[in-house]
Amino acid sequence: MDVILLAGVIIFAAFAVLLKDMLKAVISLMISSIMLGIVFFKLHAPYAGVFEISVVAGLIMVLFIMTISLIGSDADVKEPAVPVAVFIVLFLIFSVVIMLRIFCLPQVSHQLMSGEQMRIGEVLWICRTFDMVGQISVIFAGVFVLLAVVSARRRNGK
Amino acid sequence: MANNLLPYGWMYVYTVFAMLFIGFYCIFARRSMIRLLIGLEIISKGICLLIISGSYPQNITTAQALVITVIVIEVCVMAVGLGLVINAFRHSASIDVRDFSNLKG
Amino acid sequence: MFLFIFVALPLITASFMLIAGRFSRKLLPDFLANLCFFLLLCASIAISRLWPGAGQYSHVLKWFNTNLNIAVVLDGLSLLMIFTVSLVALSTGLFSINYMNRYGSKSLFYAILLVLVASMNAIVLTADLFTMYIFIESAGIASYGLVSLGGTKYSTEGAFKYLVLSAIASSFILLGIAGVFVSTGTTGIKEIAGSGFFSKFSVILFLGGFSLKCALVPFHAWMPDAYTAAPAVLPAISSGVFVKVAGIYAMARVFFNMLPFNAEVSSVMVYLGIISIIAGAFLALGQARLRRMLAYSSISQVGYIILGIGLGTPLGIIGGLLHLFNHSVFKALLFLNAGAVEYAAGTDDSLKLGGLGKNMPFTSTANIVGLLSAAGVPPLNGFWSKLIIVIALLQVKMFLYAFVAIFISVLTLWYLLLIQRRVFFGKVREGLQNTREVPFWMNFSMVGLGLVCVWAGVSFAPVILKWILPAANVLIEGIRTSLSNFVIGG
Repeated sequence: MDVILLAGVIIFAAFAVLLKDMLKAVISLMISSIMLGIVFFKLHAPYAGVFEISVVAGLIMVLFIMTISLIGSDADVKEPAVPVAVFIVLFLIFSVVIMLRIFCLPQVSHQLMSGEQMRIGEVLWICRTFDMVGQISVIFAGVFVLLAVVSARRRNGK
Repeated sequence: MANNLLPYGWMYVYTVFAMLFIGFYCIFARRSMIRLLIGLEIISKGICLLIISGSYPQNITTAQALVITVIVIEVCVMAVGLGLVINAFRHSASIDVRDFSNLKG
Repeated sequence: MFLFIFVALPLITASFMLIAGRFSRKLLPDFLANLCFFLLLCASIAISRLWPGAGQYSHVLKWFNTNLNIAVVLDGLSLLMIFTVSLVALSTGLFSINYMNRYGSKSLFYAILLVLVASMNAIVLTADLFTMYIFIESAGIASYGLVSLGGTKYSTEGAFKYLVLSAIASSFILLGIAGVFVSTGTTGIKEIAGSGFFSKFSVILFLGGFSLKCALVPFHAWMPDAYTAAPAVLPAISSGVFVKVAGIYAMARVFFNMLPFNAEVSSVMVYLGIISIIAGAFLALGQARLRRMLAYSSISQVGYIILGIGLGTPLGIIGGLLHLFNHSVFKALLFLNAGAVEYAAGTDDSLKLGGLGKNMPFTSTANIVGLLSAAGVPPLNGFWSKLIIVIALLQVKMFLYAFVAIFISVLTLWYLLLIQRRVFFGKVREGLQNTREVPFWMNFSMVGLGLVCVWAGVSFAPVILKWILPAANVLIEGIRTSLSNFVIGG
């Protein structure tokens, strides 16, 4: 079951790169996100799975689809005519190289960390509070930059 | 980096590397601005899978906190990138990166 | 609790900036932002007076008796970076009182600049690797926004190119952090150092990611395009402090305090440094546009800093850190100068300008101070840092590298003097007869930075003893710890 999910993640991500129609590429990226969210659920990380499905497969894909519909289809870029076979050949070479090295990678030996019985809310707000300040800073930066970009467009459009 | 506590732990590492390969291929071999952002998104997914699968039973709450933060950062970067794409389209009606006129190194 | 105002005060001011922009378009945002920067500068000087000179100060915040657990850590290196950030931020803020009048919404500009300064302060005040990454991203987003404020087609293209390349670098860094987290189970710098983690894969990822952030050759492709297309305040603050904080400071923390110090890493840093010095100087030779030439010159000077720090000897680290401080000051001065030229004459293409020195005395004097400092002419501040780096190279018997460093320094003097002669001296061209001197605040900030250059040059010994030596000791302690672990523990 896990094999099917992981293979689905890889295959739909590859479709997102190879498909020519932009909308189909974004939808296949969305399906890949949903499958990755289910993988997170099975790894006992439900909150990461929820975030992956609702934010990545939801919010970011909606942003992409809004942009594509704003730009319209007359902005399709003529991609270089490299056939799909080149990608598949490169991917197979890459897979062979990785599989040869993958069993030589160091095995992870965990020292058991105490205090991991805390809930996710406490970890996020109490142990990593500086990260929350960081998230606030990132959101401020994003909001102000978007406002600046939008107002520049309005000023140049007049 | 292979997780020894997961059954078939090496599959997760292979998936991570495959996502990274696909993402970097997308950035280096595609010309449309939106495809570059799709490539960045795929790379982020690979790294999130690495963080969660590598810390499977012990550190899973800290790993979830890290992944949640990474996803928030990705949203903001994508939003700014898409705003710039729309802006570039309004200026010159093309979203091809080879048309960037001042690529003089 | 006093240290957290370096992060909290700019963020709170930024959130009030949009409301203030509704009441008054220019006066209130100017006043609030520059007041914030001035307070930060005073705070950093006050902390340096109370500083015992060594050791680390770490504090866990409390808010109304609940334990907030924000751990801010200050040591000598952080203190140097905070002082540099505050100084350059204040001069950029004062400069943009007049300069940004032509660029649209000033309150938005100040809001983005305040978020950038808050993120850079937070990068140096934290002891956790992942928190550092978040604030590097936040400062990066603010930088992309500042590039795109230029308003033209080139600004948007330059901002997008900068975004993609910088996001690739961030993904390398995040991949390295993920590898460290999976192997050791923690993201705090001290804990990772204590667990003795080392892996070549992480080293390559961190080197690649941080080199792209500080624009070392061969990862320098974003810098010239992003800097020419942006308003002139962006290169001043980005090349002045953001490149140092997100690139050099982070690299120093990771390679000196976190991972055990390795001879191969040191040699790679030295190679990257010397290649950047040579390539940056030669690429700057043929440029006519003022800002593009200064961008390539930045790449060359950052190469000096990495060369000094990467040597690993105490003298090399002191020289590298002193050059970090000096470069922030004189490069900000030169970029603000280029902005002043563009404000007064409408272009910064040196082939179209000439004879501006008659009507703009302050600007041309500041330019002379900046370029003599950049070229390493005594008694200005650039001379001492380059001298210390050359002596450090001679100490480890790298004679060829020392000769190259001196030669490129002379070359820097040559191309900077060439541009200065073309722009400021010579015959006044036809359309430029009635250029006037730039307004008061722009002059004030440029003259202020020039005075800092002269002061840091003339009284370099107190500067070194008070600011640079504690910072260098932090890095040297890191090397000593890793070497002693190697000898004892094996």
